[in-house]
Parts: sequence; C-alpha cells; structure tokens
Amino acid sequence: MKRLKLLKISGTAAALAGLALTAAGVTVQYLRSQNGYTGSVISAEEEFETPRELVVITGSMPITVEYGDVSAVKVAYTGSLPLIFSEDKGTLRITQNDTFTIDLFSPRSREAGVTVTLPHKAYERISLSSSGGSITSRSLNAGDLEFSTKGGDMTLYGIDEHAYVRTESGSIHAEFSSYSADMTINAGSGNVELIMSPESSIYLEFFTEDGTFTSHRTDASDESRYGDSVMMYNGAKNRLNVNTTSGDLDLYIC
Amino acid sequence: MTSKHGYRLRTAAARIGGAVLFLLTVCYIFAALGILSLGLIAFPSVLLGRLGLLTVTSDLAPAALMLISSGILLVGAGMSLCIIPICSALINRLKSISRTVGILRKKASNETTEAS
Repeated sequence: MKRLKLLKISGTAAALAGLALTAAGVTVQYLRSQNGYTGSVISAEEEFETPRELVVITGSMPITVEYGDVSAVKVAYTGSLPLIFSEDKGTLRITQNDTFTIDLFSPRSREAGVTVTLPHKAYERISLSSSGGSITSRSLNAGDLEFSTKGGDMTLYGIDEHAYVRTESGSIHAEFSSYSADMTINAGSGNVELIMSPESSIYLEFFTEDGTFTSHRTDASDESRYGDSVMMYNGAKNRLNVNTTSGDLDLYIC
Repeated sequence: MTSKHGYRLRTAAARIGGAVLFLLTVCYIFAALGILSLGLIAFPSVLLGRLGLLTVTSDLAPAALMLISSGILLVGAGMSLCIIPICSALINRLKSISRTVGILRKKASNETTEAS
C-alpha cells in the first residue's frame, strides 16, 4: 500500500511538473511567434541558367518538374535543410542534403518538396530520382528521361519520348498523349496505370511473377489476364515493356 | 416499480459502471504510454539537435521545443507511474462491484422465491 501511494504521489508530481514545463514552453512559443518566429522549415527559391542536363536526387522530398514560361530554371523548395546545387559542364545537379533530420511538431514540414520549372526546350537528359518521395513530371522533352524511386509514387504526364522508369514499390501513373517511342517500366511490387490515346500504336509486353494485366478499351470490353501478357494495338509500331514482380498493370486506351 | 426491478436496475447500473471504469482505465493506459513514447522520441532528439548531431525541424522555437518536449516526457512518465495504482484501484472497485452485484442478485432471487 505504501509503495502504491508513493508511486501515485511521485507520478502525480512528475505529471504536474511536466504540465508546468509544457505550459512554460507554450508561453515561450507564443512570445516568440509574436516576435515573428515562423519555425525552422526552409522555403526558398533559386534561379539557374538553362542547362543541357538536369539531375535531381532526393531522399524523402517529392519532386515536381514541369515546363513554364520562364527564361531560366526556377527551383522552389520547402524542406528541413537547404538543397545542394551544382552546375558543371552544362549539368544542373540538385541534391537533398542527406544529414539525418527529424520533424517534431512541424505541420509545415509536410509541405516539403522541390518544384523545378524549366524553360521550354529539348534537354539532353533529365534524371529524377527519389528514395521515398514521389515524382511528378509534366510533358518533359529530353533525349534521355529517367525516373526512379524506391517507395515513392510516380505521376508522369506526356512522357512520349524515350524514357526509363523504375520503382521498387511505388505505384506509377503515366498519361501519354502520342506514344511514339520504346519504353521500359520496371515497377517491382508497385501497380502501373497507363493511359494512352486511341491513336497510339503499341506492342505491349508485360512480364510479371504475380501480377494481373487489365486492359480497358473504349472499343472493346475490359479484359483481365493473370501473369505474363502480350498485347498488340493499332499496328504495334512502338514497343512498351512493363516488368513487375507482384504489381498489376492497368492499361486504359481512351 | 417493485423492489425486484429495483435490484435489477441497480445490478445493471453497477455492471455498466464497472465497464465504464474499465474502459476509462484502458484509455488512460494507452494515453500514458503514447505520451511517454512521444516524449521518449522528442526529448532525446531535441538534445541531439542541441549537440549538433541531428537536424531537428520544427515550427516551434528551440527554447519552446526543449521545454515542451521535456514537459511531455515528464507528463508521460508521471502518468505511466500512476498506471499501477490506478489498475490496483480499478481491480478493488471491480471486486466491490461484483460483490454488490452478487448481493443484489441474491436479494432479487430471494424476493422471487418469496413471491412464488
């Protein structure tokens, strides 16, 4: 009984002291915010000369790359640490500082991400890679397009040129306007969703260990097949390889 | 209302009361352990951040973050220390409720026998 009482008393005392400390912390925070403190999340914008090649590598930050009406490359980002930029022989390289970081009581850090706005031109190479962040690209035009993530999802609009897409477990959503190149998509356990126009001419090979291929066509009823599949559509001019381990492939031609 | 019904009502009320107390205790235990875990993550992180070994991103000012994280750790520790006394009080209360329920049921069954 004595021990229980002691536990009760010491527990209550600790909880009360904790409440007092928390209240003091809230007061300090209120005073600091009155003085204009907005937190340690960084939001910045940088500008660079138009490169021939663009390489973006992040750990957890989502990446968005798109064309815009700009004369120079604009990079806007929100994150815990400043991004590292390097320009060398026509290559703009953007990397996330990989120092170990932790977010505490920071709703703003959920907005973390990097958005690159490129001037309209055909680039030699664009390579976007993220470990856990998602990748979004809009109508990029480059000799070599590379997208890779480990667990991050990919949303790719208008990647009609040659592209290499790879993820370990993230899902891929790609929309093509006029598919006219050979492409390989490696998706591991992630699901793949491809949206193509009826004018596309494709020879699709789907290799999987445990995935299902489903085609949704406006001119035919939906068709679903388990395991490896081959589909020819509209003359089969351009090759499209999709490889997954357990991820499913959904092809929409509409 | 006959006294038999009164006994039944009191039995039901005692049972509901026992269940509510049990639920409240479970909620308390989860809250205490949750707050303690948050403190155990936050406070060492803030310390490591102060030492420059870790980058801590927060919308809170560093001094406020230190105070709040240590406060949360203390609240969690205090609440966790109170788990055992609270559980013991709950067990005693449940025992007394079950004794009361037993007496009430006995009284109700006695009245039924007498009436028949």
